[in-house]
Amino acid sequence: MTKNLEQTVLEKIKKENIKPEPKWKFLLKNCTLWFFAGASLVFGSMIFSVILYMTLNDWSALRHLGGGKFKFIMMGLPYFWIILLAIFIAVVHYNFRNTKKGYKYRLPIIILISVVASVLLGGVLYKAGIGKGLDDFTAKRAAFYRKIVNKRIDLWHRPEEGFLAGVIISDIEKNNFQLEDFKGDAWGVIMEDAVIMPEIKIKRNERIKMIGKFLGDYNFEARRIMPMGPGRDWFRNNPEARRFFRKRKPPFSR
Amino acid sequence: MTKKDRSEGTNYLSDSIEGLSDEELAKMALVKQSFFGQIIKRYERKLISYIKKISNVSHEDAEDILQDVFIKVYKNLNDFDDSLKFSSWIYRICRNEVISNWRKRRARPQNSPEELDENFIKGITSDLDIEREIDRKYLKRNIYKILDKLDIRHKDILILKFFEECDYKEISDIMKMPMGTVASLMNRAKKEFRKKIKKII
Repeated sequence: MTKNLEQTVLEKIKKENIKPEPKWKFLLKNCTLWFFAGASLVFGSMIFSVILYMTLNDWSALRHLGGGKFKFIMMGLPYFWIILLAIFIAVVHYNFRNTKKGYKYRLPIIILISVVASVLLGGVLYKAGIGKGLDDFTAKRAAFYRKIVNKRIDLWHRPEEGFLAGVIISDIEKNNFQLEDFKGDAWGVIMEDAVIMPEIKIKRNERIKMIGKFLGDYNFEARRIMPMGPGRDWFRNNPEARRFFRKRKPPFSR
Repeated sequence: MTKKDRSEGTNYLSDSIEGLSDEELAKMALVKQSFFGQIIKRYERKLISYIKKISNVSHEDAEDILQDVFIKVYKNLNDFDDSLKFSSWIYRICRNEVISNWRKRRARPQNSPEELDENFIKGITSDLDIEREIDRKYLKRNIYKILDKLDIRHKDILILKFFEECDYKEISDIMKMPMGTVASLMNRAKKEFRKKIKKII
């Protein structure tokens, strides 16, 4: 039996001219897996920097809300980016697990290391402005931005509840200005006693969000004015937003 | 060179090949195919027996699978990682080959693997702490039937531990799973095995 199988295998190797696969092929395969694991980790970190940008931006506004803070947080969570981050972490895990020694590590350890690395690198990228840049990039190009990526735009369009966002479309006169919301409606805004965040200057074309009081008939009293932050490039730049603004009623000029 | 010299030379070469470790043979096999023949000799019986235990295929089918295993091993010699035992690596390839053959082979008539010796049964009953609960002769006759009733991964790990006598590190390398997972899987497998025994009793 021994002789037969040994002979059969060696003869088959000879007859079919079977050769051991070259070492570089295995090295390449392993390097490719490491590359994809690393690249997914970097993408995951970039995504985490957007999550930081989106959540930290509304943090200061949260203190000025009355009730419904929990609802505000839950509604405003960047689910799209969180799901994308989870996908990239899964890709890191898949690639790492298939490297030569990846199987030695338990799933929770790999996930934990990926999450910690994404958080640390994501924090650095956030400080470097990558989160903001990536949000601006998506806001300009993704047609589904308002509906899927950044639902906060809707969150800041509830004038009756005291939330309004848009673009300033007039010069400032006696603490009043006109603002166009994302639906293309024009609002008269009074900002007499408003707290204005130091990061912004109230001037034409500035994209802002406000907490205040609905005065009825497209009039709004601002109590706190903040930069638009995430989604600022959505206004007028995104295909969906452009459709809204095209429908805008005259006579307001830009 | 006389015929006697040649014969002594061949014997010397054969002795020196036998003295080589598996890992050294694997390296030499990349240069000369005859060294691979020695690897086949060393693992043929062990792997045939392992294939039959985990898949219950006939001897002929097991030989077919084993042929494919050795061809795969030869093709992948450059992928052998020095940090592993060669035996772990070859068992891993064998296990993967059996799994990929499993579906089509499962439908074929099944054969009983070889007889087990008394010491083996003594060892397994002691390790699983079922000495008092089951008659050894009964277990000897029915162990494969009991193993077949287990979850496939449980059966797999028990065979590696008790039949192939692999330690946790080797099982981890063969099944490609972390040591901690091996330990918890082993516990679950033993638990299920005991449960099946109790059901029979």
